[in-house]
Amino acid sequence: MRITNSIVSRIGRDLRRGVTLAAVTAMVLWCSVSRAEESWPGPTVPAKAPKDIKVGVVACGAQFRGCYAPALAAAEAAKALGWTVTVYDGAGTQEKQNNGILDALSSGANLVLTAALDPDLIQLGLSKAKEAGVPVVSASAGTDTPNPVITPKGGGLKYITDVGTDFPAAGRGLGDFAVKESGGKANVVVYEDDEYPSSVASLMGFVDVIKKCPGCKVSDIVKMTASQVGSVGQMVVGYLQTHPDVDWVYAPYDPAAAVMVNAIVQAGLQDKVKLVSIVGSAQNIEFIRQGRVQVADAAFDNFYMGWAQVDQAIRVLNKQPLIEPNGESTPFAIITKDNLPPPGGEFGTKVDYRSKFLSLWK
Amino acid sequence: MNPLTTRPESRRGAAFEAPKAGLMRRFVDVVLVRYASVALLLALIIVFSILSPQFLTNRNWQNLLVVQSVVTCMCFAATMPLIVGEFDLSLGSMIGFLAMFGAYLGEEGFTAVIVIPAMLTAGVLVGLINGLLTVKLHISSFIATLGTGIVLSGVTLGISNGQVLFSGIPRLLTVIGQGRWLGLGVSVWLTLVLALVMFFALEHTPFGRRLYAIGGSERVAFLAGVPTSKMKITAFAVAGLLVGVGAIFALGQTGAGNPSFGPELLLPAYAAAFLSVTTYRPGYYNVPGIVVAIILLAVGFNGLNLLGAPFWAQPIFNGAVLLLAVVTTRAESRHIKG
Repeated sequence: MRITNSIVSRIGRDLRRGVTLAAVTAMVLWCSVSRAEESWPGPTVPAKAPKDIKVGVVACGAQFRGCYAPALAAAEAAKALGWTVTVYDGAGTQEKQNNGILDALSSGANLVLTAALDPDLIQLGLSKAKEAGVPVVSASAGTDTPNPVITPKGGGLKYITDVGTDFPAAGRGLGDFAVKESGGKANVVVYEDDEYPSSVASLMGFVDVIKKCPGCKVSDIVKMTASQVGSVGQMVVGYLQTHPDVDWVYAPYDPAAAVMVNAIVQAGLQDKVKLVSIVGSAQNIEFIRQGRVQVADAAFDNFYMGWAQVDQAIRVLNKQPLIEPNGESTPFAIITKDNLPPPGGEFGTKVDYRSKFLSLWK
Repeated sequence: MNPLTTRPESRRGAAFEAPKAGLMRRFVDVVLVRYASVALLLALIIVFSILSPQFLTNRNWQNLLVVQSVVTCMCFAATMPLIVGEFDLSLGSMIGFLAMFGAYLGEEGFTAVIVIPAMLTAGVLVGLINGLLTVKLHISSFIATLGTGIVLSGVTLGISNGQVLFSGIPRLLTVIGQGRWLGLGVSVWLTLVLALVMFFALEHTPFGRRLYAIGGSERVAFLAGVPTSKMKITAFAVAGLLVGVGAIFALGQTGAGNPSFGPELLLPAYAAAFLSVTTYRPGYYNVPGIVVAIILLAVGFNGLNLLGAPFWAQPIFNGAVLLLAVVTTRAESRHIKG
């Protein structure tokens, strides 16, 4: 009897230990899985990557990091799948951008990926791609969800989809920062470039927040174009000198911001003005680090964007439903002096999206 | 060689060798002096055909030619003032302005019947202004056209408000820019017609001969009875007209007016114009030379693209081709004169 009791109690103890261990293990597993699910912003529906695909990647211009990085990332993802990839430089002009698409078609590409090309300016390329039955998937144009969907008027062709970050949210983030940093008193001059839908979308988000701030003010919305980047420094200095009450500047993108920052410093206005911008280029992040006029930058993970673009492209080729929102939750962050990436680096999400995407594409 | 001291056999040998050397010399003279660019073009075609199976395909050449139709018009436009010894630096801004002007009219609801003549007329008017500033006000064409170009860039921004205009572009323009006929782009066919008209006008009419005479020596041409002032103004006006044609092609191809479009075409147009003097009629701007130059530069860009060359390679190629062709032609010309 004593032996039996002893055995039973030992068994019971072992059982209790076993159950406890199982419960703890299950809890640990659940926590790690749910943490991974929370961290992973992208799709979970698999999409088997087709084989033997030839891809032409056309970037808006190799001299613009903000659009060249997604192109390089898309090329990286495509090569990881064993696809044949050629990257074409749009050189910042519609002629070369159209040329890039045409050369991609000439080379036998059965998929074209574009980075930051305005669809209104590449109708020739899009029409030839349509004739050839080659799908064109875009990144960073800001023409599809989560951004306002832009449909060309007058029968113009558009991309099958565009993968972009939430540009209005990025703009709102900058607006929130400006309101907080200024104590609700920001007086902002906003520079707008209507050539890029993504730039317009982020500007709308920013202006929306500033206008809702009772003590803040949008002093002016000044139009500019990319061709004026070289002279926008003088434009902003002239404006600030004639409007001494303006203490904040919103630049439509980092290349313009860089010119503005240097001009403001040369004019001796660096202590009177703060500047915010979009894209997250290394040079502009360095301005924030140095405390040199620019205080915030809405940076998006251009490399995630390129991989997400390939993900959507696979779904297009497979005739699967696209992931909604089409931007696949491309991460962005408002970079300030409190969350700077390492020197010389750009913003990048900590999630291992490369492994995640590859696992979906097997 | 002293004919008095050499033996008859050696003199006979020398006599047999002289025609061969002369033939070779003449071949080199023709190929290198007059057709260096053509030789280079053929060499590139052979090399790219070997390296890229897609290079010599119908589709590739159709695409290559259609994109060059705009640059060709710009190059023809650049050549007209060059022939009479002047420069027109407003061409880049002019094509941007004219394309935007057409887009603006389209957005206002005007049809191709109005838009096309309006664009061409505006081009002629801008050209006339350039001509009058240069000839009547005696402002250096370099400075006058630079000034008008800057003004035009501002007007382009003004009428577009800095935006891309893409609605209401007349259908005929997009047919011209993107349509095809007998396997070639419509704009390519029209450019070919333009090239033939220009070739005939410059090479086989008194108008063309007078232009070249002014370019050779304005003073001598004037003394010979050529109305030099009127002819120079006409050259600028024709340049404006040609830019108008290019703007029609550009607007049709893109389907939109872009406020940043145009200035990037100025240097390539002049590069091709300068390259043209190495072919057909060395030392003279000429239409066959322009066509060869345009195709040469386009083949280089296209071939490098198909081979996946890095993005910085193309400008280096363009500059190197221009320098090589000019240096080769000059070296051979000096050899012949020496």
